[in-house]
Amino acid sequence: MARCAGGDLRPLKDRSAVQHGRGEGKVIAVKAAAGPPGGVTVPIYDTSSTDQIRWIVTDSEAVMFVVETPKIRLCFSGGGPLGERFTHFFAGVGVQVYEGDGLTETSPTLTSARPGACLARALTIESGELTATLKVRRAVVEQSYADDIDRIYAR
Amino acid sequence: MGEVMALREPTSGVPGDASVDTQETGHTLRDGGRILVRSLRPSDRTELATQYEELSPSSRRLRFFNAPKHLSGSQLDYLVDVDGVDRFALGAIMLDEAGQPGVGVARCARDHDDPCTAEAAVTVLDSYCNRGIGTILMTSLVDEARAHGITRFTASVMWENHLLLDSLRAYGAVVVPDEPGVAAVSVELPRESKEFVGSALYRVLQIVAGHLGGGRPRMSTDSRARDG
Repeated sequence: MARCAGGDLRPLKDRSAVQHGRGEGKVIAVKAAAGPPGGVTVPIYDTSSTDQIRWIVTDSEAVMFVVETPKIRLCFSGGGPLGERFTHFFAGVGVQVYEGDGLTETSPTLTSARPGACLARALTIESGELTATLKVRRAVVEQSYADDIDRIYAR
Repeated sequence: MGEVMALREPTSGVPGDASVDTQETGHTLRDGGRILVRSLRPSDRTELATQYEELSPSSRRLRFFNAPKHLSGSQLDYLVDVDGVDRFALGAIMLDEAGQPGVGVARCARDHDDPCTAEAAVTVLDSYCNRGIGTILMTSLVDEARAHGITRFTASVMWENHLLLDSLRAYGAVVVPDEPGVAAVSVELPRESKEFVGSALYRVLQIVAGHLGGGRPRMSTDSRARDG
């Protein structure tokens, strides 16, 4: 499990990395959350070398890092939707995660919202939220979902 | 880009006749490629879903004002539900490529409150832009709409689409603010499709299409990404 540097592990898209101290409990918890969606955990030990950590951070294609510290107040994810299971996991351990969205070339994080706080139903023409060619009517959507939007961006 | 062949003539040429069968018309592009333009069919549903996913995120957003990765089942059902009376959709098919893929769709939907007006959208796959396909689709759509009593097209265009908006203004289109970040455009159609070819609007569309791709200013909504 600690063989994270060199050729023992090949980059996987769904790999996640876990930094932890001496206990194994959090690793088990993260593995339980990451496993069903197809994720692979890659631990970072206290004894991991700088090269090993650098490889995990830069080359393992990890999509998420879990860091345990009592000082964490907010956590942001990026690069794609966090997913339902990860959302539930972080909610369960009491960490508020925000999904960031933006253009890498310009604004790495332009907006962020709580994952899972999605609109309850699909937009429809009948409700006036879409035009006849399925373009979103922004003002109508904003009005229809004012409460939900406030909830998504609530602190 | 001229029309070179009619694979199948319409079974009826009566303007406004809802029973007019789908006309399939072949066209040769500027670069020599050949496309077939025909009405969309329910059997196109699967390919529509597949080709939508070929669109760049930017094209999806500019077309639908959001960028879902997939079209929902109900959206696909709606997009292939063409009645030839109030909803029209023409697809462009590349004849010279393996599998003859669909590469673009032009559609319009009649306004229930104003039957002479229809909301229009024309989109072409990113990799097939700048070949005149959007212009051919638009020409065919104008023809179809005019034959069914539609005299005006409307469209929602993002304000960031300066090239298209400026060109449409030059043509005489009415451009007014609509939703946040979106302009409402209204364009009167020529009385006959023949008038469209060579008209100011036709030239505008050609100019806009000529600026697509290659890092140049790109038209945002309805002439550069395939309709979903």
